[in-house]
Amino acid sequence: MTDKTAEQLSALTDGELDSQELDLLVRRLERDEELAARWTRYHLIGEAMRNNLPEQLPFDLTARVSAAIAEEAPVVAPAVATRGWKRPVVGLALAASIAAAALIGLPPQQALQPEAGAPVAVQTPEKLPGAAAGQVAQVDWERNARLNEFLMSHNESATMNQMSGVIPYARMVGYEEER
Amino acid sequence: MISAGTVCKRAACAAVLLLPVLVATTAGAAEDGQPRAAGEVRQWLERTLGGVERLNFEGTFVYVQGSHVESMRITHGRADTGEWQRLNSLSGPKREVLLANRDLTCSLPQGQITLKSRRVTSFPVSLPKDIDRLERHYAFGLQGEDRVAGHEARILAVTPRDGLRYGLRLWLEKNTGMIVRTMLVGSDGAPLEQMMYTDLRFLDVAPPAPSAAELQAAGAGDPGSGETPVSTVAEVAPVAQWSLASPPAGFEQVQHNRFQRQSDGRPTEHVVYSDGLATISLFIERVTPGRSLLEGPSRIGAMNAWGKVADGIQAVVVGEVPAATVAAFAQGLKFAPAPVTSTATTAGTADKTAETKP
Repeated sequence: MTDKTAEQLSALTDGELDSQELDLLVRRLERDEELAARWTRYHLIGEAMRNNLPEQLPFDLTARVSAAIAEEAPVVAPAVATRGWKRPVVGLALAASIAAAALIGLPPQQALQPEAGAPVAVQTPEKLPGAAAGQVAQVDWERNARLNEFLMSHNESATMNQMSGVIPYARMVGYEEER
Repeated sequence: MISAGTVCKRAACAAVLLLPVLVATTAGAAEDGQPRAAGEVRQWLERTLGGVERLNFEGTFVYVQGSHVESMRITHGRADTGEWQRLNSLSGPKREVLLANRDLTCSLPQGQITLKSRRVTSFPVSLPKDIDRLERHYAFGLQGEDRVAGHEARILAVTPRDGLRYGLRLWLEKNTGMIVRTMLVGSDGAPLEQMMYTDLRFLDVAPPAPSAAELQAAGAGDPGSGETPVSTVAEVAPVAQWSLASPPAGFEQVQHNRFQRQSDGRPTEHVVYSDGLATISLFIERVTPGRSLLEGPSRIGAMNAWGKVADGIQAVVVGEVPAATVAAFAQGLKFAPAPVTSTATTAGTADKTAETKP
């Protein structure tokens, strides 16, 4: 993707594209799956940063999660319906983390809340235009997904400690939701 | 701390003496030091640890973590085939977690997922030895009474004796000892995570167990769903050799799994450490080219994690403990790729492990 396209995409995400450019870009989005995926990502991150995400996202999350799992890459895949989804878990972890990241829509730096002083690339929607910025977002996204894999496995073990009560189960389910 | 532990062990047969001894040797403990109180704490702990899995009940609880609030329905039963439990989300998207036959099945909006349990036994919270162990790192004190979901409850405060773990307040239902409210407390005293029943009914008759069809659907799911269950660690080639120079005080290895991720057959070492209350997981995997790495601190909810990468190995330490604890854990961790033919070894908390393992 060229820098110009990236800039347009970012402008589109922010609703700052003029109508002619908008028309062109939308047509490209229809053809270019990678571009569409990137746009979705920008959009999600932007909305999340603005704390604007609705409880239910207005597109087919199931398909995106399924597709992402099929590819085993935690990117936002284009909405291609996948029936009979039954690919447990790489799983639960990955599905959960993607769903969490999507439903929640938290960009990684919010979802992960690194400790104070930790080096964190803070991206704001306005600063996402370049391809490089997009890569940073994606790397963080993957990082988040990987961390969730570990968290799920950890909680499964934590259920064995009787003193924890139902909390580990609640945490597992909680990953599906807004956090 | 170590001297207190030793005293503690020797005094194990005289439970009523235990807490006063610890109070005398540990700064900052808050109990009243009355033998009667210590005995009472122990009784509550024993009931809580001993009996809940035998109960039949249904209820609703709320789970609160930061700004996140979740409401869940829970049904717990004791069937011929063993303990089972069902959780249904009442808020947000419909989700269900079914624990039966030791398998954990999550039904999510995206589909159904079964985690084949790798557990062989519960954590070794055996009585009374492990209560002694708990008391080395936490001070227990009863803090009056309260009502939760209409039930009388006793409040048990669990205060860490150092900064390596979080505190806990437990509301224990008076007749059964069941945990009806939990509050995980940070070092500043603020709640990190909470669970509270808003409705709870104990049942004389076991609720209808999950149907055979449901269990089959859940358990069968997919052959080899998720992580390949492994009965012994010997069945999967070791990923790495590792050792812990100085694990945080009190944390001992309680479990070691080795499994393969369904996706790519990536073997993962999963070692679980516990101080009896808090749990820390150590994951070790080979670095997969093209996959992102986890390095340094991360936090999700009340959980902290620390990633470390060296020599083609990714290690991740995760637990419901302060960030400093996972950091210390990771710093003491040395690892190297496993030789093809040998078995991974663990060097643990030698003295303490030997002392307290059943």
